[in-house]
Amino acid sequence: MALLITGSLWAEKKTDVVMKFSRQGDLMRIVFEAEDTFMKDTKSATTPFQIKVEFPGPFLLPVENNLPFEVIVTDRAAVINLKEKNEVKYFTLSSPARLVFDIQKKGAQTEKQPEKPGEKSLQKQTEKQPPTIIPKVFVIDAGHGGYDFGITFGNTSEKEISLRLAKELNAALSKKGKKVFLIRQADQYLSLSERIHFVNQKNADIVISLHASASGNFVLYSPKLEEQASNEPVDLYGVSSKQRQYTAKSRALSESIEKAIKNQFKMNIQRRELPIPLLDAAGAPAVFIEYPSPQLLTYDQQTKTRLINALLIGLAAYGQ
Amino acid sequence: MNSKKASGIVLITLLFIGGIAGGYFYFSTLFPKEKAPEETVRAAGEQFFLRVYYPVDNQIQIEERRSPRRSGLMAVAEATMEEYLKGPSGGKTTSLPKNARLLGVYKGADRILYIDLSGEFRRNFQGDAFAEFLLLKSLYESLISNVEDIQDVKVLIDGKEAETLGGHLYLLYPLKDIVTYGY
Repeated sequence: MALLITGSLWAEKKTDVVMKFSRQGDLMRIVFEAEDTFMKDTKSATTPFQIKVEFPGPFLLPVENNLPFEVIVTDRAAVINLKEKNEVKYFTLSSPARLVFDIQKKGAQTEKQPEKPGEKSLQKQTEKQPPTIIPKVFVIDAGHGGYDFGITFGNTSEKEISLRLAKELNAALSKKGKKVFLIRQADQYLSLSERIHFVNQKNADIVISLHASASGNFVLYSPKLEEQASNEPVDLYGVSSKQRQYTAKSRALSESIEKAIKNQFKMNIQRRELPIPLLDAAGAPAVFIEYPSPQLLTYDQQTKTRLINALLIGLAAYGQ
Repeated sequence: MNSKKASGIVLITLLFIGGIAGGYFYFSTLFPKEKAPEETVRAAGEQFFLRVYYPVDNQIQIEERRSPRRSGLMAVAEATMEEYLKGPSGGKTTSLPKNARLLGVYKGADRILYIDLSGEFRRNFQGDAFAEFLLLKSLYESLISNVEDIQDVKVLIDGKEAETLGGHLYLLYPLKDIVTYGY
């Protein structure tokens, strides 16, 4: 019995790992630091787009916001997804024990990388239609996160795909000079009330929430149009006074995005109304988008680009 | 004389009895016995029937389930939940979370029925926003249609309030308002 208790206590103990990040010109440095015995058995693997660090046991790794790369933390590993192709070198150092990754943009100025045929056409695709988007400030919500995986699909999950799409949309909008706030930038759990609080802090012009559908269709949700304001002192599932003034605009936003997705994917789009707290409480035009199940649509780079493109076109059409 | 007297008494007695019977028949047809309100749970010997709602393929399906007779509202609520958690018959596709258990049923003074479910109900839920909506709606409809004298239903997870079940809708409040939202 004592052994069992000791065993379970030991099993829950997590080792603190610190991740440090610095940048100098084109060189980024990421350092993982922890106690010697723990780092001794830590393994790492790198590719031009990814760094994977496997730890010998459970660990606790606080991740800063606003990092120029994605950090995914699982039980025994930390994965860093880099935005661009890089040259990654790593060193194991001691006192204190640490793993150092030096990341240099590959051929940033000198080498021109041959493009894959698909990549070239995709780039052209995004460049040939530069829609003008009027709204300036966006809040993007990547659904779920942390212990809330959302729907899981084999070895991937809704929380991961939503975050990747949110980051790509962020990059595309930022390129157009828009101010974008991501509700979450890493694999972390945020409650609905924390998300709502974030949305209403940022004075956004548009709020977009990204989730997966369990079906093969795109589903767009908008807040319910209420003809009359509720007089109930506590209207638990009603549209809040903040959203009420934007409900028609939310619907218009949803319609614009629906048309753009329909054109891009040649699929039927379902429109629904549900008491989704983030939509009902947002003080801005808001849309909740469910993309088709990854079991029925592969989210490779081409699909992601098409989806981001459709969203940009929908956002440009909105309010024109 | 005596026989005449006796037959007179018999006649009067028969008339008296006939009068009472006639009166009873007349008044019973004039004021029919007040019928008991139609019971949602129909008795059948030692068993009763429950109407249980399930989320199946993006809609709600009703099934009639037979359960051993129980008395009392809480027992009926428990029976309903037991049948609900078993899921729909015939291996239909449902978003009902697997291995969820009923931990308790309580009725508040406000006529809200509190359903305490094990963590599996939240952990094992795999679905989108509409699936979450249908799951809550089917749970609510199952209880409201079988358990008398309740006004609303609130779900607890492991004895505590939970903010959400699947990350799309609130679970913090009683379900009536959410499940009647436009559907």
